[in-house]
Amino acid sequence: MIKNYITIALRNLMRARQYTLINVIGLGIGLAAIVWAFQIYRFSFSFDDFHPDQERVFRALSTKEGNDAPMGFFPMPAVQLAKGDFSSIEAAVRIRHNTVDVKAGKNEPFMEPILFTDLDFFSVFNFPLLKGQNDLNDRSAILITEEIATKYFGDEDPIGKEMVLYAGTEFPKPLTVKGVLKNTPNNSTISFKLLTNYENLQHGDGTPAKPDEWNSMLDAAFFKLKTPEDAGRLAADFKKYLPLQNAARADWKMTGFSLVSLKEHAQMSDISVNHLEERPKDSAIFGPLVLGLLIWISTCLNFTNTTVARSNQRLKEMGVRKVMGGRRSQLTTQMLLECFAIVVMAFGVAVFLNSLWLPSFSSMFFIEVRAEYLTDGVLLAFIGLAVVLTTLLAGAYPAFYISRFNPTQIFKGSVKFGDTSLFSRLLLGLQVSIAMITVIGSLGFAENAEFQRTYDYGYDRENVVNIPTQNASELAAMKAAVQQIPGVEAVAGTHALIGFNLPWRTIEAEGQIKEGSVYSIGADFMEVMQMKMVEGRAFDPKLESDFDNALLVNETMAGNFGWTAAAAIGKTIRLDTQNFTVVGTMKDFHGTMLFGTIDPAAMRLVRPEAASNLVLRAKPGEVVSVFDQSKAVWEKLFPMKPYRGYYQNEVAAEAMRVTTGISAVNRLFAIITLLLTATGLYALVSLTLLKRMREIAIRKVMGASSINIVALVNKRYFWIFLFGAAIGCFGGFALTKLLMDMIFKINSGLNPATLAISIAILFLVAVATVGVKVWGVLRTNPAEVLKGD
Amino acid sequence: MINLKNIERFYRTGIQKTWVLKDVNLSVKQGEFLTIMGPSGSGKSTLLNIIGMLETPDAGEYLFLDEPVFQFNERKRTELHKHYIGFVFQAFHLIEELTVYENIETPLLYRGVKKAERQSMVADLLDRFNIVGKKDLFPAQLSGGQQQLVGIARAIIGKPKLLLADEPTGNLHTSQGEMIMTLLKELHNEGMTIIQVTHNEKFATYGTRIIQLEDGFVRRDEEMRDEG
Ligand SMILES: Nc1ncnc2c1ncn2[C@@H]1O[C@H](COP(=O)(O)OP(=O)(O)O)[C@@H](O)[C@H]1O
Ligand SMILES: [Mg+2]
Repeated sequence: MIKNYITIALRNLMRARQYTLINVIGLGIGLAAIVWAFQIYRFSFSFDDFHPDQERVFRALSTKEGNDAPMGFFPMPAVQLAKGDFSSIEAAVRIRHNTVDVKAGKNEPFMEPILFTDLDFFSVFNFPLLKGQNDLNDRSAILITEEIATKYFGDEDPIGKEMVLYAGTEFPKPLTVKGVLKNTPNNSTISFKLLTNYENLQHGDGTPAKPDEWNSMLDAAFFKLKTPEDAGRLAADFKKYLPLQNAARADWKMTGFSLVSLKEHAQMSDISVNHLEERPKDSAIFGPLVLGLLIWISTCLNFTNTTVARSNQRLKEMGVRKVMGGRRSQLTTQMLLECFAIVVMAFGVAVFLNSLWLPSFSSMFFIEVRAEYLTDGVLLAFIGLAVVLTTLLAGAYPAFYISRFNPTQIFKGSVKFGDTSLFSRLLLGLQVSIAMITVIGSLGFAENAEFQRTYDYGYDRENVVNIPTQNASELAAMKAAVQQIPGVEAVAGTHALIGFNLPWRTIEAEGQIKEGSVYSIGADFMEVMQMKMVEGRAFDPKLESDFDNALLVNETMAGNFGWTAAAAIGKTIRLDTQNFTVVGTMKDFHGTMLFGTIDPAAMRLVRPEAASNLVLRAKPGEVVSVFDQSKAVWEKLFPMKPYRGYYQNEVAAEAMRVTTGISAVNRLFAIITLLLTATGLYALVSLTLLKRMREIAIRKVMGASSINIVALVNKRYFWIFLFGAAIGCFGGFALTKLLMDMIFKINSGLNPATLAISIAILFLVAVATVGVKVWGVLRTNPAEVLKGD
Repeated sequence: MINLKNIERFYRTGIQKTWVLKDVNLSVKQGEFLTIMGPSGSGKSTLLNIIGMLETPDAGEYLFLDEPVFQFNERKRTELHKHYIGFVFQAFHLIEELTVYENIETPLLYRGVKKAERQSMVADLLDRFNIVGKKDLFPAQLSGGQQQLVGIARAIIGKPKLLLADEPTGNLHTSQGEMIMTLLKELHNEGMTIIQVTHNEKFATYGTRIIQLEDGFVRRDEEMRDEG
């Protein structure tokens, strides 16, 4: 019996090749889309789930005066003290990331991210060792990942090789490679390429880190507890370290601690100052989820509609089967089996599509999505479910509906099924809505990309190059040299750079405690960056007092304290223990990427000897050549040190990449949904025409013009199309705006023109699709159609 | 009114040509009631379709009201269909989704006739054909004869000069057929030019002239002596 079903199913599919092909490809796209969305979802919620004893490992977070948000920082000496002070702590791990110059063999030095940590690291976390040993007790040991092993040593055995870390440039620290670790997985909040004992940490002046440096902050601290219930009490007990800590850091007064489990911390997206990796933002998880579901539904709708359309041609077959004694359930089974066969083939297409799509998506968004169909049980279960659901969603309606009729009805021709069905047209309307949503998403984010490209950050980001150096004398030498480059318009030394570090701190004035960024800048910095004053004056390096107690605030900070730009002048602001006088109010500028709003900010003046970063502004259009020339200059001055210069415009790069990426993904999906809508529409219109061929011929003979006929055929689709487009407009507008706001605090929003263009695009696609089909009918001779009777 | 000269029509089957009409010459004057007869497959319908401008012959000349039909464009043909020519089919070809009233009304819609005028025109015809009571029924609810009445009403509502009827009684019982033929005769008496195809010798006598098609030629062409 089963064999008979299958033979018939395959034969039917072979016979209707066009139908089979369209649906195998269509559903393949739909399945690929939900597998993609599902894998992103799983990846995002799998962070740090690969460590043993999960429930007993906790991350310590701190809170800071003036800000209730939990922060990733933790006082460095408190970790080892706590391990001694509290018996419920089984293991304690300090985590400190640094970027250092690393030299091995004859290679030039590279900058590498390195992790300084404790002996307990490998008893708390699971980062598998591939070769050698991972005993951090050995102070001379450095552990490296496979990636680093290949990069520095190629095919050679890295064990026993020497690697030299540099603090600054003068202070080498030679270490020996003792072990090779697997690369850290992408769903790990702790990520490193090199790893060594915390005691190997050197400060910029070459002094080793000491265990009691209370002014030193950890990026993260982890504790493994004997009993997880102790966490709350322990966090409260940690308060006993506050006095020591706050005495050492008057600028960073902590108010308390909390312990959150490993699982919980991996899901937190509101940890401020978090230097560990984070799971993708909600928008990056739920955006694809919505998009994937929409595509999948759209492909299912298409499947249903084309199946219904085809069923009409099979009514007679069904009638005959019934007369021959086929039971309804058998007919239903037969039809569902055919659907199932298509879905299974479609899955093959999905696997192929995702083998292309997943890697390109991963590289676009740095969200790792992979699909290992053979080894991933959860994924397999999901796919099984998806295949069954797709079969039922797409095949159930036609299968149950068509098998319901009795044969005499069918033979008499009184069963009408397909084009007149409101159900089919509603499905089409839904497809139109979905296509509309993706088209709006694609155009909306393209618009946002243009908005971001031309957005005024409040300073010149196009022509500025930043060149970090390591001390004032390097800076002075470099400054003198770049001034000789003809394309350079202005140069300044500074401590802080805009957009790349966020000197966030507590700020006090008139009894109010607020937060904001305080940038320590060189005298000519604002001139180079082309930042503008609104009120008062800029810094004057000739006034000694400006170095001591002058402050500039931006409009936002003035506003936060309740001052107008003019009223801010002359006010006293307290930073740590020192009082400053506001001498000018600056025009607002965007100190971060467009993901955030404009921050309240203040500037103070630093003396040249405290500056280590060089900023230069090139003449318009010459920034690339200036960049290359300054690199050449650097390499001549400091042949042994890597050049670290970068374009100021990189501040915009990340936001731009995200926007254009989203626009590209939406564009791809828009094309797919438009194609799906077009095939759906084509199938329905074909059916309508097939059914109404005779009527159209009669009407033509009675004098109907082509326009009359086009109107006749389209009447039944026009309203549903309009309805779908209207819903799609609202949905597309709301979803796109929501996604934009989730990702970018500053965005272009959606222009009414974008909606109008989206409607026009959809309309054109529909008109073209229907036009092709109707044109053919208009061309046929009515006599030909009416002859048969 | 109609002038056909050396009309040829053939179908190609592979490299071979099958001739349907070989050399048809025919002229029909205004006010004639012409009957086309001939065995099945002799090309009667083809000829009628050519006259009705639904088909184009492969050779020959066709003057309709002294104008060369083959030079007409699509629009002009549609115009002629609207204003000069009405069709009646063997299979009635009513639109199933429309009521009797709506079926008859349809040609007027394409002529852009005002609603009030449409109503009175359709009402007149319903009255004349005695089917007022059926106006809200659908074609499937009517007998064959009634359906053909509707078909004729629809064909003549636009007051065409020429009525083409391809076996109008072919699907009807004799009594119903007679009713239809009487009606056609009446229309003819009122001045309408009619060309009909029929197999029925008796029904052929309702007309004023009979031609016999055979092997693609007009074999016989005779005027009826008016016996009545
Ligand atoms: N599209 C076509 N292809 C081939 N032969 C055709 C086609 N249409 C009609 N014929 C042939 O033309 C001949 C005349 O058809 P028709 O005019 O319908 O005959 P009648 O109405 O006298 O029975 C028939 O033999 C028919 O088979
Ligand atoms: Mg015929």
